[in-house]
Amino acid sequence: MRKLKVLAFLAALSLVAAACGGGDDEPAETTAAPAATEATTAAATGTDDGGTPTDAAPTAMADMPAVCQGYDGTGITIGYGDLTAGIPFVTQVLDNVMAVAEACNVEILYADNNLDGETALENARTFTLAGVDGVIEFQLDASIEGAICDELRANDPDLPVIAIDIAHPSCALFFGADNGRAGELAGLALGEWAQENWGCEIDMVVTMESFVVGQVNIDRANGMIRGITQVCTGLDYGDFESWSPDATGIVTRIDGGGTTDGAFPKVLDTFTANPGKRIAVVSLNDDMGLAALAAARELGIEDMVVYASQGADATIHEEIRSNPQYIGSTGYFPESYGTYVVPAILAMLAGDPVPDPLHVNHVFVSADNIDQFYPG
Amino acid sequence: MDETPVDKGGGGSPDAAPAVGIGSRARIARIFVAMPPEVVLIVVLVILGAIFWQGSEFFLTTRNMRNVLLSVSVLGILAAPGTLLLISGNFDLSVASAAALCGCIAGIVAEENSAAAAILAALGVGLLAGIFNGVLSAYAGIASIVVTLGTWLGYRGLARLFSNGQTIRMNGKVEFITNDILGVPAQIVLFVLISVLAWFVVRYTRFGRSVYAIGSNPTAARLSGIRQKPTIFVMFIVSGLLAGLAGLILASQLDAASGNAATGVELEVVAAIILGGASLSGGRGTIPGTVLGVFILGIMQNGLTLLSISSFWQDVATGVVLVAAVGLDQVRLRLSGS
Repeated sequence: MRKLKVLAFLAALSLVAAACGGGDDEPAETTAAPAATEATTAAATGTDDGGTPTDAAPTAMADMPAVCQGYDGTGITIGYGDLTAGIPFVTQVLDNVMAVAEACNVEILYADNNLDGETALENARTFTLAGVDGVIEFQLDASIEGAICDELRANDPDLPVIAIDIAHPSCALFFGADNGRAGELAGLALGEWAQENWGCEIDMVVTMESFVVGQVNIDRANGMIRGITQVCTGLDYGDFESWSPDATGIVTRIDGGGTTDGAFPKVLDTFTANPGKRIAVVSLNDDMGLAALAAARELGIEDMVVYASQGADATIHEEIRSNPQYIGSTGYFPESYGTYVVPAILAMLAGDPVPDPLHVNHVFVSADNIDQFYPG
Repeated sequence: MDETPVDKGGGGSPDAAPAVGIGSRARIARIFVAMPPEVVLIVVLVILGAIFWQGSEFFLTTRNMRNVLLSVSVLGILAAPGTLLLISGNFDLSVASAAALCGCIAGIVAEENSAAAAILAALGVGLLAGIFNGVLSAYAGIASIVVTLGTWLGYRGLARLFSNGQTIRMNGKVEFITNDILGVPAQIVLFVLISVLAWFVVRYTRFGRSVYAIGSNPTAARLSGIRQKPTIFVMFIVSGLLAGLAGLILASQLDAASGNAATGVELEVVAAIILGGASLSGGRGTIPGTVLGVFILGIMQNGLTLLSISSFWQDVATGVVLVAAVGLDQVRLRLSGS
């Protein structure tokens, strides 16, 4: 019966995500359907952190917008610990969470975690003091997840908590990216391009990374390399799975800090030191992919470099459409995150089961399919 | 410096040999003390250059020197007014945030308007940012480090607000800003021109002398009739204006503007100025020193990347060189004082 409810939840979630696909830069239904499949698989082996009904449990209302899965959040306040302001991905997550919360009559108590664990802990205290009914936690520092959970559940041991992208196993249902898989999708696509155009004669793989992000960086970067290895076998990639900042085989890792201007001088120098090489660039995000593009243009080696990145932010759409060397970017569809987490936390408050972990679907967005997801 | 170490150990005693050594060391110390601080930096730069040249065949190529100049031009443009401010005992910690804000404004304006409008908007916002800092620091009497710590956050927040946290593509609209002029990228030409102009102002104008006087002894400067407030105000205006220019250069070079652009560059600016021999308490510093400091930081990053040194070690090595260079200068100053 519980599994049936989970499936029903996921099916409804798929419909909602599909319904959100009509607007500009919104993922279409093809995004949502695989999400349900993945999440169902995950749920079969995962745990149920559905929580128990509370005084503030949402009521099922037939006339609620489809995005709310039938839950009415009137009178419910959810704490939202935001990763930080100013990063495109994070902003899109926030915007969608706010929009869905508003549609479902949920009040959001916003706090900026500012990429800092201590700040996140302070914010958790604030949520507890404010007596929120549930918390959506998006914070970077995995090492203090236990402390944050203790703080959040100081008054209510059953407080529903959803952690976005960084797991908080002490208390929270996980929602977010499957970073390794997302990375692999980009690597596979790039490998296929290299096989078709270069006969897999790749001289160098450059991974644009952000070391400070830790495990997420490692999962994504190694996933991207792994994807290439699955197509272009026989090249010396070294022991890339044992992540270290040093080069292994044909793989060179660049810590670009996640930003275009931070990555630019480093990738420019790296390209300069490797003239005449065919270079495959895989980037942790689209902003650093732009840095690699700018560096190749500066050096006049556009034909020698091919790119794939992560995020599929609006920033990169035109490049994917018009530049055959920029073969695409794995979509995380942050602009749909709210359609997952807000109904999920309302379901938890109502005592309905929710799969844990709940993964967003990933699709490699290329020139062939970009208009399905982001109509030009 | 009336040391006569040779005489102390002379007379053919068994100590004669060490005495000669002491004498040599004393002479070296005298030369060390007498040399301008820029010479120490040039020596550091040459040593670094030699190490990287040995390690990478690409280091001394024209292409790579161009890379170094491209990488340091924004830092150098921001560091020039920063040096004047620090000599006068003031800080502008908001320059990098202001540059990001100006870049975003340029990107937003360029979406619907001409490149000229985008440039004017960016420089205008930079000017306003400088005026705001200047009014509060010079006329409202609030310590500049406090004012610009606030605007460091504020301008960064505005940049993210206006860009809605998104990276803005420039679509080549302001690309010409960084086009080559006679084979040299425009931002490098601007960096050189601004540095030369700043050096001239500091070295040969009354304004420059006033800056030193304010930083060395504000009370004496006031009593001698130097108009402190307008002087400080003008420096903040120039700093804001050049932050606008830096934002435009970044947006042009990368064909993108972001609210996160130039994150941490304010600390690199301070590091370059301090490395160049300026004192945090004011009254000391030179433009050539700052330019050398900028180059040391730039060459460190460039050379270590060419050598495929991991970024963890790059940070460590840069920190060590920074402390060593400043430490060497402090030793020189103390010897000179004694």
